[in-house]
Amino acid sequence: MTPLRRLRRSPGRIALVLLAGEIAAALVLAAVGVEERRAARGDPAAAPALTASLQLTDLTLWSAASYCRHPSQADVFAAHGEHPAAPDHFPDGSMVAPPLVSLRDGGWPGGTVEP
Amino acid sequence: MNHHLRILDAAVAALLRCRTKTIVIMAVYSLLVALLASLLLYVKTLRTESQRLLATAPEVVVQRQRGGRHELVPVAWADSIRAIRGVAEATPRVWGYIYDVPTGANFTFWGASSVPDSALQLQDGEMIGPDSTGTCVVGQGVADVRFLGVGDRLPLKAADGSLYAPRVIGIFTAESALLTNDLVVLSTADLRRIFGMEAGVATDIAVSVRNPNEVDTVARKIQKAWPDVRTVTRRQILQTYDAVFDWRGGVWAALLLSTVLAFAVLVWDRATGMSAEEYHSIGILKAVGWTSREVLELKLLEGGIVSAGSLLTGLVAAQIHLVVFDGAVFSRVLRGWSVLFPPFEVAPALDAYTLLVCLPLAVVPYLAASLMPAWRAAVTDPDSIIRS
Repeated sequence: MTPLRRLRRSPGRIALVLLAGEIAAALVLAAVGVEERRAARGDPAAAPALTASLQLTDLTLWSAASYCRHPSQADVFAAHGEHPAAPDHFPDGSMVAPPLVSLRDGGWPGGTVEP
Repeated sequence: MNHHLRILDAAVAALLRCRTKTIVIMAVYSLLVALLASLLLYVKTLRTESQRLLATAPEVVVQRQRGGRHELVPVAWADSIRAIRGVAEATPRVWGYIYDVPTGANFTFWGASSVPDSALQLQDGEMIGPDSTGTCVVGQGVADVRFLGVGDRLPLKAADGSLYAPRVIGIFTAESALLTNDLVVLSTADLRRIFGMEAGVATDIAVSVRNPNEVDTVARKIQKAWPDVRTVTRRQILQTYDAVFDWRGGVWAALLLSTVLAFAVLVWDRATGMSAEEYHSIGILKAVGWTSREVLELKLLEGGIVSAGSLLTGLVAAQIHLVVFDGAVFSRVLRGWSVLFPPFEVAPALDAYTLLVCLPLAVVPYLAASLMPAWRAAVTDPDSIIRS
């Protein structure tokens, strides 16, 4: 009996082949991921060297407010002092939406662009 | 071996008999594993990147505070800090933010005289030199939202209300976007002019320390000399990011966990309450000569196929979510209210931690829930099972 015919007559073997396929897919995707990240990083030494030379302290992930742009440089209580809706920095920041005026027309009271 | 393969065949055949139920259970299980694995891998990628990129951040940053608010620090303090034993260099930094009304984005303005070639990550153009004035280098995000190219001008309103429009001479690459996306780097003199900051003061002072073991001692000495300062060490910077990502991941994990628990209760309820048909089929297997051990192996393989299949499908789905869709489910939450969000590669590297967290979730509850009633049935007299 050929291996293919044996496989066709055994649902257990088909299940094993499918599981092995999934393991292979997971490994291939992991390898693709590692390669993509390596390509995206470019020269691995350049970005840390830029941090050192510009003396940067924070990532540019959140730029909505100073304590979010530079969380490591902000006071631990800065979010409450400056803005009621700390963008995802503190637990309450995610629960309380900012007042609409702060999201509209540059955040000037009354909704005007210039004071 | 052949014997076990036959039992495996019987297990797959049993699962295929209740096809819809098996597919639904595997789909829900896979979805849960995919969400959890995506979350773990996403947060891990962010944490790894933050640790890598900020490993060279200043060892100590000295900020002055007045009434709990940030205050400009005298540049002359840098000389006194340099005199502290163990300090290699103290550099006054000039930086701040300008809210860009047309785009609704906050730009970070950074004063720098020059950047060494080894650190240069410019997509286009050149870096500002020690004597350059009226020029700037911008991050990819700034260039995108303001449609800037090399040679264009970036109009800004200075502190005195006058218009200042430095010429863009370089744009940072997307590779460094996590550091530079919203940056506008100008010469320190230009930045002082925009911010209306006098020459004798700076935003804060970055201190480098010769021996890493002495960082805390140096920070303590600085705080003792100037009681109104706050020091931020590199360790604290890295810990801040750990805490931020832990919290974000934790909130999601808490939400996911309730779903996982609800599903586990459902599976438990279904599996422990074995149907009369399943009970009957075990009785028949026993009656035709299957031993209790073989019946248990059959049930173990049934559970194993469902669990392992769900686990692997979930992991593959998580990787596709991160590699192909760049973690679309989580990026909205992570982005928050930010207008400028750096593009970054969340391509995952599967690790033992993720597997160890997902494995008990997918494998243990289902296996336990399907084995226990099967064991009860397997040790019962087949005659009484069939008659019942």
